[in-house]
Amino acid sequence: MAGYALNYLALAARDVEAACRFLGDSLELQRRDVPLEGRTIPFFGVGESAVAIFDFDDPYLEEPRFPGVHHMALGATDPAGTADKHGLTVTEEGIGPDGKRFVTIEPKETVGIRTRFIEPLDIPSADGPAHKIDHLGIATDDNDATVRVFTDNLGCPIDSTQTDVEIRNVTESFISDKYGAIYHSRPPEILGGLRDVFITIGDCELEMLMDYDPTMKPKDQLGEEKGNTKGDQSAIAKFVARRGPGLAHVSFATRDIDALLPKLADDGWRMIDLEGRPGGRGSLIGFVHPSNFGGGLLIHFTEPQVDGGFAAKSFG
Amino acid sequence: MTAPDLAYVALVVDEPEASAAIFEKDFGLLRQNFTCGSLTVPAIAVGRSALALFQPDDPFLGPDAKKGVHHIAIAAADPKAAAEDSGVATVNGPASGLGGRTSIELARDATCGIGVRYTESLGLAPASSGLVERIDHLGVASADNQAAREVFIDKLGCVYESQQTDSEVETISENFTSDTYNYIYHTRPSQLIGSMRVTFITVGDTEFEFIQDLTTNVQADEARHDAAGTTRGDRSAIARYIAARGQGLHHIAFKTPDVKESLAKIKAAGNRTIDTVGRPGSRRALIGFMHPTMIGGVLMHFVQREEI
Repeated sequence: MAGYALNYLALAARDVEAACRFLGDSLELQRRDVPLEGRTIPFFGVGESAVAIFDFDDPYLEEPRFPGVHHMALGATDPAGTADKHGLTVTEEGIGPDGKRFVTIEPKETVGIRTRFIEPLDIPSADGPAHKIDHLGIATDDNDATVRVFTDNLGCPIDSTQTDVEIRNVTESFISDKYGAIYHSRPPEILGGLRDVFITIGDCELEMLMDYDPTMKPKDQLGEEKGNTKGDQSAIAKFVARRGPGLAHVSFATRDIDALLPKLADDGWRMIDLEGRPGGRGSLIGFVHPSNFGGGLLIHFTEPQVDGGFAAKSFG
Repeated sequence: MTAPDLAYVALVVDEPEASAAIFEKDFGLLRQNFTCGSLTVPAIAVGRSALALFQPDDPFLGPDAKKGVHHIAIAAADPKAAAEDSGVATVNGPASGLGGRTSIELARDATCGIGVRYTESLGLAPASSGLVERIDHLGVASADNQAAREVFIDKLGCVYESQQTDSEVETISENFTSDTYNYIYHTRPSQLIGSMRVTFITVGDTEFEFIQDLTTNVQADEARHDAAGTTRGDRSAIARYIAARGQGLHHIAFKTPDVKESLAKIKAAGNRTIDTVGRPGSRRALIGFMHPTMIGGVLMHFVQREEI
């Protein structure tokens, strides 16, 4: 086996009920309520893993707690032994959902990505508008460190690397009725960008997102207009500044993003994007507004590169 | 009706004496003093016109004189008759101006916010220096260039020179370069981020440059004097000026043989400049701004261009 596979992803929401409606009703993911210490937690099977929705204050989630992607649990039949084998410090050992044994790894040793090993839970999944998790977005300021942990130590393979840049070109024109026309263009200006590394964990990837140039000031207003690379860079820079590096968003894979995004809007969800825009790895992506779930929880969709991916779609 | 001649341009500055010294020493121009009421007003001959340097509280200017280019004075043998001929309303009747010359003021709200007076000629000899040939133009923050044409051409007899439209367009590209997946280059539609209509109307040996902001979809930027200017920045300056002070005379530009050299000389003499090299300006020119603190509150720039 190459590295470890994602068993479930813990999402922390202010509005658990809305998040469950989104995943269960709109994305048609299969739900199983899993027992945990006398209560149940809604799990939604997706591809070969699952998404669990917790109240953002749930005691199963270690501090600090805030709405968003809380932790990822990698499957391991012997959680404590696995941590020990890789020389990772365990901060908590316990019995989790479905009575499965788990360990929590010291987050400093996983570049802020809150990681657990757990005896694999079996959550059934069905095909639907979102057929698997495409990737987990990680805000980071050190891609190399994440590679040392997840690839060199845990053995998860690198899928690909890429650089995203947004450039402004400005042309000034002076068109006179006596002096003719003058055009001049200023040199291109880099507005912002990201360096990405994709590392495979089972049927999805960790997407490390590192600010291309931390001296570039992030944009103030986010989520008010459809997304772009400068906005993504700003979101990552702000996330790292506020919370430190760690899990930032989850992206579900879909086969037809231009059908899914408007459909979700019709279902009443506030959307940042209503059509797919260029994303990483030749894909099309589109974001859901975090306000749907009480804020903080960032979900988007990816239509992976197929038959040319982005190249197959023409933009006006 | 003959085309009007420009007697002088009135600049309101913090210290007329200090400013006159800069024009004399750093620009190499000559000065001559005129009495005006109980005060002395230095005048600097430049081209076939002159700069008259007033202090802000000079009673000749009227109340609330702000620093900057205050008014222009058109030369007329009989100022009162010339004013009446124009059909534009006057204020206060004839008064005693520079060197006791008769002067009469037109109503600002009838002249697109521009202070206009008629005066008897100052009788100065034409003058220039290695740095300054003449006044190239007087920049006007305008809300309506068509209205300006109706006043200055149709009523005051000035001659139309040219009109141009300046625009700044930004085009944003996103570029995703992967080592495994498709290389993506994606360009968003271009956006107009600053636009002005600029109308030149001749007065004497210079032109009014009426600058009307046409930008509708972008907020004016904050003022900044720490970087070379742009059309977007210029447009923002005009929008801010009109919002704060209304329409009116905004800046003065001097024709120079070599804008870069002139900026360097001005800087070497201990003055501040905004630009250090010429950048594209109206009428196929290279322009370079001096800092408005240089002549206590007047925005000035150099213009280097071929005349057509």
